[in-house]
Order: sequence, then structure tokens, then C-alpha cells
Amino acid sequence: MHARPDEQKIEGIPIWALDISEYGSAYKGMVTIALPEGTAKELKLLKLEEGRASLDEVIQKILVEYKKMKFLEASEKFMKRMEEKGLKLADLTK
Amino acid sequence: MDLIVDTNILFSALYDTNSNAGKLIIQAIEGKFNLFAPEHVKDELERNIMEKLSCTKKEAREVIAALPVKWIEKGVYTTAIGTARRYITHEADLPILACSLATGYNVASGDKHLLSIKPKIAKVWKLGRLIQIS
Repeated sequence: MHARPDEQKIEGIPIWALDISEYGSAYKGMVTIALPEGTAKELKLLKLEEGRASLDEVIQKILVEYKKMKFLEASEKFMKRMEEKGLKLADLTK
Repeated sequence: MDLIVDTNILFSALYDTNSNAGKLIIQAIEGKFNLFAPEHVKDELERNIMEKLSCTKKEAREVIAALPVKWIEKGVYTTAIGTARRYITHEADLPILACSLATGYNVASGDKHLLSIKPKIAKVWKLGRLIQIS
């Protein structure tokens, strides 16, 4: 049976006694996110496969790739409209 | 490096993602540069995309949201416009230089007016040079 939240301890200190933001640099500025078990497993697998030091590193890399994809998609839409309108770059920048 | 970019760089990046402007955007996404632009650049992008490409406001905003740029509010650089006017006469470039003067950030541009500014006033990088050293 799991301990009640107010009975849980970190390094022997009851969780109610901890101010996480003040509790050592490892916890400072950190938040907890909940994920389905399957997603968490996939992230951990990816961490191993990619040889990353932490899940944070894996997620950071995913975010970068996601932002690149969004930029390339935006560029494609932009170019499609430019072609449809028969415009060149100079028509927008002059 | 913190850099201020102009409308032309952002349009050039969207037009050709393999261009130097496109490379700058990709490198900014990867965290090599922090890009900033005055709010008027955002307004200009939105207006041009809507008027010249017949996009809706929502479509224009989606395109702009994909750019890794932090927009500098007018209040931050308005007071520096007067000083900027002493160094540059081209009206359209004033907010870019004013932003640089107000924040101390370098500028990346292909604009001949901005590139002619003396480094002691504001450091203006030619895009090709910037990509070369990054």
C-alpha cells in the first residue's frame, strides 16, 4: 500500500516539511508532469537509444525538431501562396 | 548571441529555408541565436501576408508563430527613435536601430542603410558573415 501523500519522505524528511523550491539545486525550478505509462516508456527507450543524459535532454531535442517542422511547414504554406499569386520575394520586401 | 532581425530576413527565411536567412532561423531554433524584432516588424509581416497573399488573420498568425522571434514591445524602443534618427534617414529602418540602441543587441540585416551604421553606434552583421562564423 502506498503512503499517504503527507506521509511520503524524501531522504528521510517528511514531504510536508519540504519547500521544494528551496530544497537543493536538483529540484529548483522543476515541475512534475503526468504522462500515460506507454508514453513515459517510449521516452525512456528513446533516452537509452539516443544515449541522452536525461529525459529533459530527450524532450528538449523533440521540442527543437518540432519547432523546425513547424517552421518548414509554415514556409511551405507561404511558398504555395506565393506561387498561386505569382509573386517573387522582391514583391514582399520592396 | 542576441540579434535583432528585420522584415526582409524573416520573409527571406520563409521564401527559401536553405538561404542564409533560413539557416539563421534554423540555428535560432537550435538555440545558437536569440532572435528579437520590434513589434512593428510583426505588424508588417501580418499585413503583407494578409494583403499580398490573401491569407486570413489566423493563417498569417500561424506563419508568424512558427518563427523563433521574441517581439519587442513599442514602449521599449519608442524613446530611442529620436536618437536613431540621428544616424539613419531611412524611415523604415528606424525601429530596428532604435531597438538595438535600447537593448544593446546586435542587428542582422542585408539592408544597405543599416549596414552603413558605424560599429560604435550599433553592430550590424551581414547575414552571410554571421552564418560563416556560427
